[in-house]
Amino acid sequence: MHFTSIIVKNLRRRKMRTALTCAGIGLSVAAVVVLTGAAQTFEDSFNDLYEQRGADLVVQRAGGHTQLSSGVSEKLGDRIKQLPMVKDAVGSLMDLVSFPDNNMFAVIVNGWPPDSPVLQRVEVQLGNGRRLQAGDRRSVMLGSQLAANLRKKAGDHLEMYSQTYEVVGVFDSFNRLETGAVWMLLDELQQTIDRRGQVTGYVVKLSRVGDPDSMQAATRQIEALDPHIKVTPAREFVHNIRQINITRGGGWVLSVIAVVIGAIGVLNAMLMAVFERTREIGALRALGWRKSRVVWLLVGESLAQTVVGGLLGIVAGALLLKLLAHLPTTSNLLDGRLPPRVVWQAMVVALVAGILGAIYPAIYAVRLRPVEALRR
Amino acid sequence: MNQPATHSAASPRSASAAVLLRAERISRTYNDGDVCALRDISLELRENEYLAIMGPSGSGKSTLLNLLGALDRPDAGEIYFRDQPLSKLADLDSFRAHTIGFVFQSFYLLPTLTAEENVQIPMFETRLSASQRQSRARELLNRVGMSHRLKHLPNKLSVGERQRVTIARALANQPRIILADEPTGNLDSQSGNDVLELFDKLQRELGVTLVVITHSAEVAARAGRIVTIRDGQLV
Repeated sequence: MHFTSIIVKNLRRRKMRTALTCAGIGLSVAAVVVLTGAAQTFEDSFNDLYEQRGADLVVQRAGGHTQLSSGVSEKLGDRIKQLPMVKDAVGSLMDLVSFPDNNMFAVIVNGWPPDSPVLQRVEVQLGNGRRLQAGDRRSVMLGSQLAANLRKKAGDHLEMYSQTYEVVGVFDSFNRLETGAVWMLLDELQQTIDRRGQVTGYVVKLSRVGDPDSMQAATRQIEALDPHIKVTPAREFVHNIRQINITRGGGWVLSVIAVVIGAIGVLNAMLMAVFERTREIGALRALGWRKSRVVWLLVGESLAQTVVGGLLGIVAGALLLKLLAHLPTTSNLLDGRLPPRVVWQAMVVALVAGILGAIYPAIYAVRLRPVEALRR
Repeated sequence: MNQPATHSAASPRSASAAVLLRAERISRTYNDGDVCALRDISLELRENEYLAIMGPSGSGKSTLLNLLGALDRPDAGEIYFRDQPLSKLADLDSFRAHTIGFVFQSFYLLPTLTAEENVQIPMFETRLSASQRQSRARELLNRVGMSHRLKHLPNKLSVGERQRVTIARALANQPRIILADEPTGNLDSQSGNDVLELFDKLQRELGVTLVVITHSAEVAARAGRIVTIRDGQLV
């Protein structure tokens, strides 16, 4: 018989209590997985988008409250492109719209200049329309995911900003943020949301990739063009997107709450176990078991429950993320992946809850002198 | 102060044997001294001795057994194992694990473990591997006549069988001393007799020192030496 067999047998002794404790931990962990998973997936999608485009720097107005509210002149793009270290600078205006009838909120709208390389290179679905062209009016392209959710195809019409737009094409992309977006021409979006002459920002590609010195030098050169702009490395920019930060912060707060709730659940279960088994613990001590071995027995029982609960929670959270990726409301933002980092965070939550929940029962158990424990 | 009588008269077989455990003027009180369970007791226990401690309920028998078994510490006095004071031992757990075997009236078998698993419990404090523990547990259960009940849980065993498993468990780490607290107290007369015969056999074959707490004169009669305790004092 191994030591772990004693742990397993003790847990199987009170099957319902063990199952409820695992379920409590599992629910907490699932909540952590969904919220932090969503934030992480969102951030990963942005990073992926910028990496695939080869974006090194992001140019925005300095001190903007959120990235969306920031605006810089659309004329700045040509001046950035003329800098020697810059290979390309692509500007776009960004906004969010909702389609309440389809339960879709915070859908990204991008306005691109007709000559933007992004627009020029986008892959239009075969037999599903064309790209936006200069001179198009009341025209949009839809990402394939959004088109599927809205049940729209080329030639259909779409109500947006209290106006009717024609869907001229449906495009595919490697990235969920794009397949869930609406694209229109920059000047039309500027006019519609009254941001004439502005773009939300520029994505800058440098001639020398991955060189920190040229990145710093280019940052200084671009910032010298306009005292009101701020240049940020693309990865840092994504990390600081307010919406992601709020979700990430919510994930951390929820993780702490999950640890506390989980620890209370484990504490309750373990205390009951210790109270019920006081004589047994006394007998183990009388038979020579060291205090540390009794502590390991109780911590082992606690950890076993939290590991099982944690794994169940991760599976449940992963399934929920998959489900969210298929719901119209969230499918334009989430792709259903479960980032490995989230799995680790969830397991840490479960293990910390297990250890915290076992501390007091273990201390209580080993503080009892064997002779007292046997008398109870 | 009068010197208390030291109860050192041993059975003929162990009279010349070395002193294994020696209690020297030990006392134990409870409730901040309000209740005096043991008062100034001195007692010697020799190698291979079979000692019965008799006395009525509440006389202090179990308190004395707990002190001799290092489950508790005296308020005054000292207990020596081979002239080494127990109060100076840093690790009483290890002392109990390797030197003392306990047989309890209420058995204290773990209900989720089979007979052979229960016998392995004290062996976790040794360096034996899992397979060695299992093999030794089987050997011990065979010795106490329980080889046909290895895989049975305690609730599937008769009370007599449970006490045999407890005895096998007490022998797990080849202790020098076995302390049995009312070992037949929960048994019918036939099972009780079987257990006492088993004690006789084990003590004879293994040469362990055996201390049995009992209030039964019949049980005590099997011991080589009997001491009686009343109101916390040896009489």
